Amino acid sequence: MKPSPDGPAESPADHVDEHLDLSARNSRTGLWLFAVYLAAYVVFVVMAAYAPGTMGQPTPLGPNVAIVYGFGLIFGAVLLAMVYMFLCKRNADQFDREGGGR
Amino acid sequence: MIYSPSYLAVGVFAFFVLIVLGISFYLGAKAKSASGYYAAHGEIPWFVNGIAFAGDYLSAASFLGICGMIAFYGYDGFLYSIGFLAGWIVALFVVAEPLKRMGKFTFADALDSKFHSKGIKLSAAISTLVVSIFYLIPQMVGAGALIKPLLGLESYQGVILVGVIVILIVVTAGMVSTTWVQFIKGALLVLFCTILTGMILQRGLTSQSAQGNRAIKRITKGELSKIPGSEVLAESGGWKGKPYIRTRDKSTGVLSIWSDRGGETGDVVAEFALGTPLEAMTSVDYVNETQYVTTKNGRKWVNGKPQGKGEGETDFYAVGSIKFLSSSETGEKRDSTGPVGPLGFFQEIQDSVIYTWASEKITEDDGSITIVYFPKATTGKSLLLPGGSPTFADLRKDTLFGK
Repeated sequence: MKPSPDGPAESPADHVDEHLDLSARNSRTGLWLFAVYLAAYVVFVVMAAYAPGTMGQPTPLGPNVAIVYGFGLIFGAVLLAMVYMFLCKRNADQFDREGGGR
Repeated sequence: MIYSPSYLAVGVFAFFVLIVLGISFYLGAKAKSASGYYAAHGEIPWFVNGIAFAGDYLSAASFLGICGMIAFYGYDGFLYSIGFLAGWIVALFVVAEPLKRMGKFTFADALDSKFHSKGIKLSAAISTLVVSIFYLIPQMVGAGALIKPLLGLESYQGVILVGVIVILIVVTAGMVSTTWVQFIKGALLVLFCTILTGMILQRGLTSQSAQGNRAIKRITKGELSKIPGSEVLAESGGWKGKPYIRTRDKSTGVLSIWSDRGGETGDVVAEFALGTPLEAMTSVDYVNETQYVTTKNGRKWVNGKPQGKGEGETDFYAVGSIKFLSSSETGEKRDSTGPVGPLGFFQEIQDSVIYTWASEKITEDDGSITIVYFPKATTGKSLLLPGGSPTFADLRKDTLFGK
């Protein structure tokens, strides 16, 4: 982005028509990954509320399910972010191969 | 608690503040436009911006608030850190791509470019301000609470000091300096928290029996009435019906408050000869020592003596102890665990009994207010489950609505 005096800057919005397809694909990928995480999160909350006994069960790792699931959500978020990065890159490569980005 | 400033702490703090202000004034010379001031020209490297976001996350809310909640209530404090993180997930997966497509850097700009409505712009601005204010309040409380033990200043002085410094930084260079400051802060916090975690794991856990006479006193009611030179006071005024027993030392007049809340893990409930019928066994009731502060006529009395560091004065003692660790594999009692790994750490906590502290406020007849801090022995198991805090306490009952 070039620094500019006050006024509209040149921005990716100017190229929106060309990249709309790629952007739409990325958005869709993002929403799918969001759904995956939301499902895991909802299961976590429901288990905490309605199956507290299960939360207390020891896991092979040592700490109980509550701790392992909780940390799993945290590391899982980082993992999903990396998956998103990978998928968006794949979308972009696919887009270029299909002759987009004239 | 009375804190005395440490000169090393003051020095490090001042050094850090000067560095940060220096960067801020230097970068301030470079911001030449509104987009530069408010959105950093869009020129911050992605790695710096990412760590700066992490620095936002590691603010007083997480660093002090979550740690404090976990210390008091166990697992429920941890739930907050997961919840905060889920917000970032929404930002990344749902908001980031559409925002980038529009070419805008802030939510308010994006809404404006799509709807071109003054009303929407106004409500976006107002909602940003409202959320910011609600977020700022615990941050400033945290600043005051942090400055107090660090520099020995009063809470409100800490708030003013931090507020002035932050305003100076932000006003002089806007988003560029704010981002770089957050980057430095984020990097430092992650680095030092990792070091701290390593040191804690290296030290392992120690039970209170290894702490000598700072172990929490837990004695039977029978022993309580037999302490030489002290008498048990009757319940009166605000103390009626509360689970406390007060004793007073007849010679010094110092008042002690004991918490009478029933049995705990590890109590020796009764000793009896084989064949004693059930009706003949007398139950043994225990009480715990407590700490308390009474505010009367503006003066504070801690544990029966005036608060202070001089002769005849006393202050709170630090709390946070393990009642017992689990026995080793051979069945011996252990005083300490030695160095543990992260998984081992949770395992040890799960198997031990820990003293958590809660408080209760009691108004006395003469209008003075006493806050009693009492220990409760809590099993590690129950600390590592949701439902430990008052907010989520209904979780552990069986009512549908509560859940």
